[in-house]
Amino acid sequence: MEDARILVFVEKEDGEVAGITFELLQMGRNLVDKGGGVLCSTVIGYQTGEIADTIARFCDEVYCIDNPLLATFRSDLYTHFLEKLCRHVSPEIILIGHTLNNLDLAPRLAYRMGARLVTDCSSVSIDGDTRSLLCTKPVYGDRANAVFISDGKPKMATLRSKSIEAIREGSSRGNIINLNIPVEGTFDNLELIGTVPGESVSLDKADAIVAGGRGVKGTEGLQILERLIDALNRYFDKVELGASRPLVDAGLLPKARQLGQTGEKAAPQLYVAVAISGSSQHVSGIAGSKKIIAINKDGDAPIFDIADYGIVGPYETVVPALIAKLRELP
Amino acid sequence: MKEPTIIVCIKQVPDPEGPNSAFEIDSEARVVTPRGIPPVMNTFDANGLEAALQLKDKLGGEVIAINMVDDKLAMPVLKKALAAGADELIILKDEGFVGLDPFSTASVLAAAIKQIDGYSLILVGRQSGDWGSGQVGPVLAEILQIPSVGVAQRVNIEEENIIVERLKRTGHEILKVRMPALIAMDSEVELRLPTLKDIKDANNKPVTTWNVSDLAIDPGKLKKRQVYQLSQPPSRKRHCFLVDGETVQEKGENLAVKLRADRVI
Repeated sequence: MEDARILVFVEKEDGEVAGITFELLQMGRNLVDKGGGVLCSTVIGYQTGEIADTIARFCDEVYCIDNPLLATFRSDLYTHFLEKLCRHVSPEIILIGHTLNNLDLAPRLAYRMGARLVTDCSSVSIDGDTRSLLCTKPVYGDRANAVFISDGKPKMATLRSKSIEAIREGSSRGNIINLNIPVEGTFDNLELIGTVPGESVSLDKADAIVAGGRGVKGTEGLQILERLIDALNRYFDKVELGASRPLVDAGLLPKARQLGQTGEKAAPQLYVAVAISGSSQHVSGIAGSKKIIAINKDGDAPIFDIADYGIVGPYETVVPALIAKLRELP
Repeated sequence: MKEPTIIVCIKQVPDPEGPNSAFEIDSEARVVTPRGIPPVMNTFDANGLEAALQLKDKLGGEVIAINMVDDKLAMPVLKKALAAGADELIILKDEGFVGLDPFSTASVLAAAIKQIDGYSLILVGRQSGDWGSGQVGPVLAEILQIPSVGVAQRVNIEEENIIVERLKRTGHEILKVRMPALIAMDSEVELRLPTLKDIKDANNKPVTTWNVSDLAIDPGKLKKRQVYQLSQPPSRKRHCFLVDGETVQEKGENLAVKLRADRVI
């Protein structure tokens, strides 16, 4: 299968390569190592030469489309160009990040390509004999693991972030192939009329996270968490505030701070779950944390099952005492 | 401007808030069977329904809920959509519709929606709480050849356009989308609680059932969801050191001391 191509979509964020890209490349590399083929990636956007150069250090071929129409992400235009690119490259497997942008893009592209798509996979592998793609996907809010088999060409999967280590730079440099693909048709059904920037949060880069759940009441509760973050700053370089879904849905914190199945995934050195019950949907976003502390007044809360340290008690009393001691320790 | 006809796709799922033990994994049959927990409306679908109802409150028009039922227990969930304010319920019910893969599910929904005159907007949830593929909405839009937006926080209609706040990793963007369009909702708008009167009135609202012969689809082309394996996820259980103390304060202090002793900090 010398010329079987495994194509990774490069994900961008604020003009840079997003972390998930390097996880996708590692996943693709694993497939090539086991089943042969060529690891390819695609960079589409505007003035993306630098990104293509970066990506070439990690794979064998980089296919680029550079077009002012692609300067900002637009689901309809990106789908259009990626379809054309995929028809040109004719990959056997397409690996895509399970990101907010791709939730709409990947299924539409799969339908156009007549490809079977499995979304939000935690891993994929190739069956050596049949070259079927085996896609493992957590289902029922991460309470079960399903394996789906895809055949035909292409086969597509979106990968959940933090499912695999990021790829390390290879010794060779891949070829960069610039494709000149014209736009066909009109794209006036959608128009971007504004962008509202949010607070820039990178929970995935934090060393420690203090997160609040349903039990944290209002801004007063959040202030207690903020003070704990302040105290932990003495011990960790980057401490962030996180949340499970109820606090975000209540409008107390932005979505970028939500950890869980439909939010961010993080694996910090220390995760402090304050008044979080620990539903499987939430735990799926933080299960990789090195140490987990649970503070909850309900001793039966499932969060204690996945924690390394636990305190049963009201956080309003526990956390201030913890803060005082954290500050006092020599 | 004419009053909008809004279609909301709703699905019932086992209550995602249920304990893990309520989800019985049958590796042999490759199905998950809920035990002792009722089906509920898929959370994101409920958000879609609320978004539709808010538009109706403002602009008038009609909200049609559509469902592919595969379970008698689902009726209370569907009635809840009517009680909350949907005007009409369409149920797609057929042996052949059970356990379809996402593309086939979308094709059945598309066939049904093509029979609804002059709809302005289709609202769906971004994904379901069971198999969670998140593919049905976008593929439905693809089949109907209408624009779509994933992960919307808010939806408005202004003249002939839909104004959508689409969630980004930080912040959001505002898109103007030509009608008709499909919008997949995130979790921001919580479904209202019906009053007792609403619940009673729901019994008089029209419920239409269509089976395969009512729709322009080729049943031979429908494909079932193919699950090759189904298993317990790897255990995440850790040994939890429960910090003790005479008082709750002391527990808090002891935790700091323990963390230091274990070199966590």
